Amino acid sequence: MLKRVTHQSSTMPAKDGNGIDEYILLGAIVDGDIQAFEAFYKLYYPRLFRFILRTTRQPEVVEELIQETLLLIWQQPQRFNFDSKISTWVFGIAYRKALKSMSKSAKRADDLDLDELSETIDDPLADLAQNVENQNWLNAALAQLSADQRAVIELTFFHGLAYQEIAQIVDCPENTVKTRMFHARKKLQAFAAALEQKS
Amino acid sequence: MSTITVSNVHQEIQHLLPWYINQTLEFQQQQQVEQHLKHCLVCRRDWLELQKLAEKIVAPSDLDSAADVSFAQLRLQLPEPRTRQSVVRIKLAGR
Repeated sequence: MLKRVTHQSSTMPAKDGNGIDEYILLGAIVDGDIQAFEAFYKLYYPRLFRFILRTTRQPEVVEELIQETLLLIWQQPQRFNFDSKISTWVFGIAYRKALKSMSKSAKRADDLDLDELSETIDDPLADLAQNVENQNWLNAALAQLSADQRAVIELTFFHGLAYQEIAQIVDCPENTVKTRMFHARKKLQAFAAALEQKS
Repeated sequence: MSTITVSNVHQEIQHLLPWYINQTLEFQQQQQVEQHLKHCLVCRRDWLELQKLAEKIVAPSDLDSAADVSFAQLRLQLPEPRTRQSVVRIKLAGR
Protein backbone atom coordinates (compact mmCIF):
# COMPACT_ATOMS: atom_id res chain seq x y z
CA MET A 1 0.00 0.00 0.00
CA LEU A 2 1.68 3.18 -1.15
CA LYS A 3 0.15 6.47 -0.19
CA ARG A 4 1.11 9.86 -1.44
CA VAL A 5 0.57 12.69 0.99
CA THR A 6 -0.12 16.05 -0.56
CA HIS A 7 -1.07 18.15 2.43
CA GLN A 8 1.45 20.00 4.59
CA SER A 9 1.80 18.89 8.18
CA SER A 10 4.35 19.91 10.79
CA THR A 11 4.20 16.43 12.33
CA MET A 12 5.16 14.69 9.08
CA PRO A 13 8.40 16.30 8.01
CA ALA A 14 9.94 13.40 6.09
CA LYS A 15 8.61 13.85 2.59
CA ASP A 16 10.53 13.99 -0.61
CA GLY A 17 9.86 16.36 -3.50
CA ASN A 18 7.10 14.06 -4.78
CA GLY A 19 5.24 14.21 -1.49
CA ILE A 20 6.06 10.63 -0.49
CA ASP A 21 5.80 10.28 3.27
CA GLU A 22 8.56 8.10 4.65
CA TYR A 23 6.70 7.37 7.87
CA ILE A 24 3.75 5.94 5.98
CA LEU A 25 6.10 3.88 3.83
CA LEU A 26 7.92 2.54 6.87
CA GLY A 27 4.61 1.68 8.52
CA ALA A 28 3.63 -0.32 5.44
CA ILE A 29 7.05 -2.00 5.41
CA VAL A 30 6.45 -3.12 8.98
CA ASP A 31 3.25 -4.74 7.64
CA GLY A 32 5.32 -6.60 5.04
CA ASP A 33 4.17 -4.49 2.08
CA ILE A 34 6.72 -5.16 -0.66
CA GLN A 35 5.43 -2.29 -2.83
CA ALA A 36 6.07 0.13 -0.01
CA PHE A 37 9.55 -1.31 0.33
CA GLU A 38 10.12 -0.87 -3.39
CA ALA A 39 9.07 2.79 -3.12
CA PHE A 40 11.31 3.26 -0.08
CA TYR A 41 14.17 1.55 -1.90
CA LYS A 42 13.87 3.80 -4.93
CA LEU A 43 13.55 6.84 -2.72
CA TYR A 44 16.81 6.10 -0.93
CA TYR A 45 18.85 4.47 -3.70
CA PRO A 46 20.12 7.70 -5.31
CA ARG A 47 20.85 9.33 -1.94
CA LEU A 48 22.72 6.29 -0.62
CA PHE A 49 24.53 5.75 -3.90
CA ARG A 50 26.09 9.20 -3.77
CA PHE A 51 26.74 9.09 -0.06
CA ILE A 52 28.43 5.68 -0.06
CA LEU A 53 30.42 6.39 -3.21
CA ARG A 54 31.66 9.71 -1.87
CA THR A 55 32.53 8.24 1.51
CA THR A 56 34.23 5.03 0.39
CA ARG A 57 35.45 6.07 -3.09
CA GLN A 58 35.07 2.39 -3.98
CA PRO A 59 32.51 2.06 -6.81
CA GLU A 60 32.67 -1.73 -6.66
CA VAL A 61 31.14 -1.88 -3.17
CA VAL A 62 28.39 0.73 -3.56
CA GLU A 63 25.64 -1.50 -4.93
CA GLU A 64 26.28 -4.20 -2.34
CA LEU A 65 26.25 -1.72 0.55
CA ILE A 66 23.02 -0.06 -0.62
CA GLN A 67 21.32 -3.44 -0.81
CA GLU A 68 22.65 -4.51 2.58
CA THR A 69 21.47 -1.25 4.15
CA LEU A 70 17.99 -1.32 2.68
CA LEU A 71 17.57 -5.06 3.19
CA LEU A 72 18.14 -4.45 6.88
CA ILE A 73 15.29 -1.92 6.82
CA TRP A 74 13.02 -4.51 5.17
CA GLN A 75 14.00 -7.27 7.56
CA GLN A 76 14.06 -5.24 10.77
CA PRO A 77 11.99 -2.05 10.37
CA GLN A 78 11.10 -2.26 14.04
CA ARG A 79 14.67 -1.19 14.83
CA PHE A 80 13.65 2.38 14.05
CA ASN A 81 13.20 3.86 17.51
CA PHE A 82 11.80 7.35 16.77
CA ASP A 83 14.80 9.07 18.36
CA SER A 84 15.70 10.62 15.01
CA LYS A 85 14.35 11.23 11.54
CA ILE A 86 14.06 8.11 9.36
CA SER A 87 16.72 9.49 7.00
CA THR A 88 19.15 9.90 9.90
CA TRP A 89 18.60 6.27 10.86
CA VAL A 90 19.09 5.02 7.29
CA PHE A 91 22.22 7.09 6.67
CA GLY A 92 23.62 5.95 10.01
CA ILE A 93 23.26 2.29 8.97
CA ALA A 94 24.84 3.02 5.58
CA TYR A 95 27.71 4.93 7.19
CA ARG A 96 28.57 2.09 9.57
CA LYS A 97 28.46 -0.43 6.73
CA ALA A 98 30.67 1.83 4.59
CA LEU A 99 33.29 2.13 7.33
CA LYS A 100 33.22 -1.62 7.92
CA SER A 101 33.70 -2.26 4.22
CA MET A 102 36.62 0.18 4.07
CA SER A 103 38.21 -1.46 7.05
CA LYS A 104 38.05 -4.84 5.26
CA SER A 105 39.56 -3.30 2.11
CA ALA A 106 42.38 -1.76 4.13
CA LYS A 107 43.13 -5.15 5.63
CA ARG A 108 43.34 -6.66 2.15
CA ALA A 109 45.61 -3.81 1.03
CA ASP A 110 48.04 -4.74 3.81
CA ASP A 111 48.73 -7.94 1.91
CA LEU A 112 49.85 -6.07 -1.24
CA ASP A 113 53.47 -5.96 -2.34
CA LEU A 114 54.89 -2.80 -0.72
CA ASP A 115 57.33 -2.02 -3.55
CA GLU A 116 54.54 -2.21 -6.06
CA LEU A 117 52.41 0.05 -3.91
CA SER A 118 55.15 2.65 -3.39
CA GLU A 119 55.47 3.10 -7.16
CA THR A 120 51.94 4.37 -7.22
CA ILE A 121 52.23 6.69 -4.26
CA ASP A 122 55.73 8.16 -4.70
CA ASP A 123 54.45 11.27 -6.39
CA PRO A 124 50.92 11.95 -5.27
CA LEU A 125 50.89 15.26 -7.11
CA ALA A 126 51.55 13.43 -10.37
CA ASP A 127 48.39 11.44 -9.77
CA LEU A 128 46.53 14.58 -8.83
CA ALA A 129 47.68 16.36 -11.97
CA GLN A 130 46.53 13.39 -14.02
CA ASN A 131 43.14 13.55 -12.36
CA VAL A 132 42.89 17.25 -13.01
CA GLU A 133 43.74 16.69 -16.64
CA ASN A 134 40.81 14.32 -16.67
CA GLN A 135 38.67 17.18 -15.35
CA ASN A 136 38.18 15.26 -12.18
CA TRP A 137 39.20 17.99 -9.78
CA LEU A 138 36.61 17.23 -7.17
CA ASN A 139 37.37 13.52 -6.96
CA ALA A 140 41.08 14.24 -6.77
CA ALA A 141 40.49 16.78 -4.03
CA LEU A 142 38.18 14.55 -2.01
CA ALA A 143 40.74 11.75 -2.24
CA GLN A 144 42.93 13.86 0.06
CA LEU A 145 40.38 13.55 2.86
CA SER A 146 39.55 10.77 5.27
CA ALA A 147 36.27 8.87 4.89
CA ASP A 148 34.95 10.65 8.00
CA GLN A 149 35.69 14.04 6.45
CA ARG A 150 34.18 13.12 3.08
CA ALA A 151 31.01 11.91 4.79
CA VAL A 152 30.61 15.23 6.62
CA ILE A 153 31.16 17.22 3.41
CA GLU A 154 28.68 15.12 1.44
CA LEU A 155 26.01 15.17 4.14
CA THR A 156 26.37 18.94 4.52
CA PHE A 157 26.50 20.14 0.96
CA PHE A 158 24.64 17.52 -1.03
CA HIS A 159 22.10 16.28 1.48
CA GLY A 160 21.76 19.67 3.18
CA LEU A 161 21.79 18.33 6.73
CA ALA A 162 22.35 20.30 9.92
CA TYR A 163 25.50 19.51 11.90
CA GLN A 164 23.36 18.17 14.75
CA GLU A 165 21.82 15.58 12.44
CA ILE A 166 25.20 14.66 10.95
CA ALA A 167 26.49 14.08 14.48
CA GLN A 168 23.70 11.54 14.98
CA ILE A 169 24.46 9.78 11.70
CA VAL A 170 28.20 9.45 12.25
CA ASP A 171 27.70 8.93 15.98
CA CYS A 172 30.04 11.60 17.33
CA PRO A 173 29.77 14.91 19.24
CA GLU A 174 28.56 17.97 17.29
CA ASN A 175 31.89 19.74 17.82
CA THR A 176 33.68 16.81 16.22
CA VAL A 177 31.53 17.23 13.11
CA LYS A 178 32.48 20.92 12.98
CA THR A 179 36.17 20.11 13.48
CA ARG A 180 36.16 17.41 10.79
CA MET A 181 34.62 19.86 8.37
CA PHE A 182 37.15 22.55 9.30
CA HIS A 183 40.14 20.27 8.76
CA ALA A 184 38.64 18.98 5.51
CA ARG A 185 38.35 22.54 4.23
CA LYS A 186 41.95 23.28 5.14
CA LYS A 187 43.13 20.17 3.29
CA LEU A 188 41.13 21.14 0.22
CA GLN A 189 42.62 24.63 0.32
CA ALA A 190 46.14 23.17 0.58
CA PHE A 191 45.34 20.87 -2.32
CA ALA A 192 44.20 23.76 -4.48
CA ALA A 193 47.31 25.78 -3.56
CA ALA A 194 49.62 22.83 -4.41
CA LEU A 195 47.93 22.48 -7.78
CA GLU A 196 48.34 26.15 -8.51
CA GLN A 197 52.07 25.99 -7.73
CA LYS A 198 52.50 22.94 -9.92
CA SER A 199 50.71 24.44 -12.92
CA MET B 1 32.68 33.36 33.90
CA SER B 2 34.18 32.66 30.50
CA THR B 3 35.57 35.46 28.40
CA ILE B 4 34.49 35.53 24.76
CA THR B 5 37.30 37.00 22.71
CA VAL B 6 37.17 38.23 19.13
CA SER B 7 39.37 35.30 18.18
CA ASN B 8 36.95 32.81 19.77
CA VAL B 9 34.04 34.34 17.90
CA HIS B 10 35.99 34.20 14.64
CA GLN B 11 36.83 30.54 15.23
CA GLU B 12 33.22 29.70 16.05
CA ILE B 13 31.98 31.44 12.88
CA GLN B 14 34.58 29.59 10.84
CA HIS B 15 33.13 26.33 12.15
CA LEU B 16 29.55 27.40 11.37
CA LEU B 17 30.10 28.67 7.80
CA PRO B 18 29.29 25.38 6.01
CA TRP B 19 25.92 25.19 7.72
CA TYR B 20 25.28 28.88 7.10
CA ILE B 21 25.64 28.01 3.43
CA ASN B 22 23.27 25.03 3.58
CA GLN B 23 20.84 27.16 5.62
CA THR B 24 20.37 24.79 8.52
CA LEU B 25 21.60 27.05 11.34
CA GLU B 26 19.26 28.18 14.05
CA PHE B 27 18.09 31.76 13.67
CA GLN B 28 20.41 33.14 16.37
CA GLN B 29 23.48 31.46 14.90
CA GLN B 30 22.52 32.64 11.44
CA GLN B 31 22.33 36.22 12.69
CA GLN B 32 25.69 35.81 14.42
CA VAL B 33 27.32 34.66 11.18
CA GLU B 34 25.75 37.45 9.16
CA GLN B 35 26.99 40.10 11.60
CA HIS B 36 30.50 38.66 11.57
CA LEU B 37 30.64 38.45 7.76
CA LYS B 38 30.01 42.19 7.56
CA HIS B 39 33.44 43.00 8.93
CA CYS B 40 35.64 39.88 8.67
CA LEU B 41 37.38 39.62 5.32
CA VAL B 42 38.87 36.21 6.07
CA CYS B 43 35.49 34.67 6.80
CA ARG B 44 33.93 36.36 3.80
CA ARG B 45 36.63 34.91 1.54
CA ASP B 46 36.15 31.44 3.06
CA TRP B 47 32.39 31.78 2.70
CA LEU B 48 32.78 32.44 -1.05
CA GLU B 49 35.21 29.53 -1.42
CA LEU B 50 32.85 27.21 0.41
CA GLN B 51 29.97 28.25 -1.80
CA LYS B 52 32.01 27.26 -4.84
CA LEU B 53 32.83 23.91 -3.23
CA ALA B 54 29.16 23.34 -2.41
CA GLU B 55 28.23 23.99 -6.04
CA LYS B 56 30.78 21.43 -7.19
CA ILE B 57 29.49 18.84 -4.73
CA VAL B 58 25.90 19.26 -5.91
CA ALA B 59 26.50 17.91 -9.37
CA PRO B 60 23.36 16.63 -11.15
CA SER B 61 22.92 12.89 -11.33
CA ASP B 62 20.21 10.58 -12.59
CA LEU B 63 20.19 7.34 -10.69
CA ASP B 64 16.51 6.43 -11.05
CA SER B 65 16.99 3.77 -13.71
CA ALA B 66 19.87 2.31 -11.70
CA ALA B 67 17.49 2.04 -8.72
CA ASP B 68 14.98 0.05 -10.83
CA VAL B 69 17.61 -2.50 -11.85
CA SER B 70 19.04 -2.71 -8.35
CA PHE B 71 15.67 -3.34 -6.71
CA ALA B 72 14.79 -6.01 -9.29
CA GLN B 73 17.98 -7.85 -8.35
CA LEU B 74 17.29 -7.61 -4.64
CA ARG B 75 13.65 -8.65 -5.12
CA LEU B 76 14.82 -12.02 -6.45
CA GLN B 77 16.52 -12.70 -3.12
CA LEU B 78 13.48 -11.91 -0.99
CA PRO B 79 10.93 -14.50 0.12
CA GLU B 80 7.28 -13.95 -0.77
CA PRO B 81 5.74 -10.97 1.06
CA ARG B 82 3.88 -11.76 4.22
CA THR B 83 1.65 -9.75 6.50
CA ARG B 84 3.26 -8.79 9.76
CA GLN B 85 2.31 -6.58 12.66
CA SER B 86 4.32 -5.06 15.43
CA VAL B 87 4.33 -2.37 18.03
CA VAL B 88 6.23 -0.13 15.61
CA ARG B 89 3.36 -0.35 13.10
CA ILE B 90 0.98 0.87 15.77
CA LYS B 91 3.33 3.69 16.74
CA LEU B 92 3.72 4.77 13.12
CA ALA B 93 -0.03 4.71 12.56
CA GLY B 94 -0.46 7.00 15.54
CA ARG B 95 1.82 9.70 14.20
